[in-house]
Parts: sequence; structure tokens; C-alpha cells
Amino acid sequence: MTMNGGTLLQLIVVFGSLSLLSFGGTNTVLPEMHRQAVTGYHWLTDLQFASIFAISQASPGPSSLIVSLVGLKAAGWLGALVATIAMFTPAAVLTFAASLAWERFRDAKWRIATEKGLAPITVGLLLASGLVITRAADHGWSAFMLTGATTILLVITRVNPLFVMVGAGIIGGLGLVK
Amino acid sequence: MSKAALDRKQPAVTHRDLALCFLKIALVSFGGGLSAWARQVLVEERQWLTDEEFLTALTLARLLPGPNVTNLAVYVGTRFHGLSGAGAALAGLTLVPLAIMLSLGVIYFHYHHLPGFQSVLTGVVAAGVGLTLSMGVKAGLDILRQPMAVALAVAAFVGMAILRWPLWLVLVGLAPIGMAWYWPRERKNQEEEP
Repeated sequence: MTMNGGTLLQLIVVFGSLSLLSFGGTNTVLPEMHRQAVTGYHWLTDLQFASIFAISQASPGPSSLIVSLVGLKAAGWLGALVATIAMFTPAAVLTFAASLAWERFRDAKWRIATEKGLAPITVGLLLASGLVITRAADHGWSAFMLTGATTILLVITRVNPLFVMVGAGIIGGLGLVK
Repeated sequence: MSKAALDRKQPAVTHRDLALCFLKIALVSFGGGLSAWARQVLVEERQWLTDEEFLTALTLARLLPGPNVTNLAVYVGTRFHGLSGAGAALAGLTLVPLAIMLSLGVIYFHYHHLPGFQSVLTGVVAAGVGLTLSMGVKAGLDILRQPMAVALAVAAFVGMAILRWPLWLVLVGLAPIGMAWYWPRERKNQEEEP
């Protein structure tokens, strides 16, 4: 882990812009985050990216905190802090402004159009995240089966995803997932 | 803050209440189901928002970029105490989870060479992908009811996952098409506020 101003600036630019592009939540920008952090800047390897994704999914709180681990790997503790602030601040400032103005836009046509028009795109981006992470993790057929099983389980039941994570960790720990 | 929101009887909510409330939401909801838990805590337990107010807040949170629950925290914080309230809610939501995430990350970066550790994570990665896919599938079952919606979703998927275009390009290319398609064409009678 090295610390230098250039890397910190890159973290600010990358996550500051991802913050404003993350319509539908952080999971929609995972492919882009992977493109920048792994392919572009080589802050992490594919496997490390897939692993911190797993950690962020299994941890409490907003999953966008995954950026703190990208920052940690890229530039140490300061990097973690800078990446987190860069990821949260722009969207939060925008939401703050929008919260003050929200009532005025209640019936605006552009608001309805934005809401309905972005929804299908968000669906496509979520499914893209699934594929990109799977490729990053270099999954074998048993991991694909586990992914398929958890997807179906989480779609058709209301089981707490945390239990599914723990179960999958145990299955992995037994050496059953390659 | 709107006049309507100010006119309504506001529960007494301190900055500390805001921080603790969103800390609770963060801690109980991990693994997902955040909006369900947020509703449970904000509407049922604390009664800070009515059901309708909560849905409005959630729509706003979903519409804007950023994690939904983060945006929800900023909205609720702003509603009660403006900028400082937003800060308190956001701090409550993120600081403890950040400490947990960094601890797990440090453990990971130090011990990931241990074979057992990586095996466990491989399982968790597979389930984590499943969680993300299930969100996409559930939202898709709700939303993808027209050919145009399906086309937009497929185009976003192909652009991002197959062609690996930058996200801004995918959004700049598709969002205007989606917005134009769903632009309300006839004015429906809006429900009057009670």
C-alpha cells in the first residue's frame, strides 16, 4: 500500500463520478468500478475485487462502503477515507438539495419520465453486475450452481440474505465450491 | 422544507435520535431488505413518517443517484434538522458499518493467502452475486412488462457487461430514450391532497 497524492486524486475522481452515476444503488456501478479499479488503475486483482464485493455484501450498512476497501488497497487508510467521502458526498449533497425542493416537483412530467425510464436500465445494470463479478471471480461450475441456487432462493422466499451468505460461506469452507 | 411538512405535527427528534435510528437500520438490515427494515423502524416503531410520506421519501431516494438507504437517511435528516440533521443521519448509517467493513478488509488483505479463508469467500462471492441477481430479477419481474422496457434492460446489460462501455456512455445513450418513451402523454387527473 502506497500513499501518494496522484492516487488520492484518482480515487476522488473515480468515486466522485461513480457517486453521481449510481442510479439504483451501488450495485449498478459495480461493472464500472471493476473497469476502473481493476482494469484501469490496477489497484486490485480480479480475485481481490470479487472478494471485497463478497465482504461488502455480507457486512452491515450500505454496500457502497465497498469503496473504502478499494481505497484501502489503493492508498492505505487515507485512501479508504478519501474514497468513502468521495463516494458519499456528491450523491448526499444532491439528495439534500432535492429533499428541499421535492414537493415542488411532485407532478412534474420529467420526474415521472425519469422514474419510469431509468427503471428498466437499472434492471439491466444489476444483471450486468452479476456477470462481471462472476467473471472476475473466475467461477467454476459449482460456484455458478451456488449462484443460481441462491438467486432462486432469494427471489421466491423472504429468507434473510445474511443466512444465505453464512450458509454459502460454510459450503465454501467445506471446499465444495470451486 | 415544504409548508405542508412544517404544518404537520412533527415528532420531537434530536440529532442523536437520527443517528441512532439509522445506525439501527444499518445493523438490523444487513444482507439486504433495507427498505423493508427502514419502513419498519421509521413508520411503525418511531412513527416519524406516515406510510405515504415514507413511500414518497423512498421514491425520491430511488430516483436520485446513490444508495437508496443513504439517500433516505439524508432526506429524513434534512426533514427534521436540515443540513446538520442529514449529517447526523448519514453518520449514524455509515460510521459503525465503515469500521466493521474496514476491519474485515484488513483481515482479508492479511489472510487471503490462507486456503480455507479463500474457500469460504468463494462461497460468499457466489451467494453475493446471487443476491445482486435476485434484486435484478425481482425488479425485472415488476418492471419488464413491455417490449420497450425489455429492450432498455437488454441494451444496458449488453453495453455494460458484454461491450464493457463506460457507464456514463450507457446512461447518456439509454436514459433519454427511456425518458422519451415514458414521457406522460396525457394529463391524468391528479389526486387532490387531503
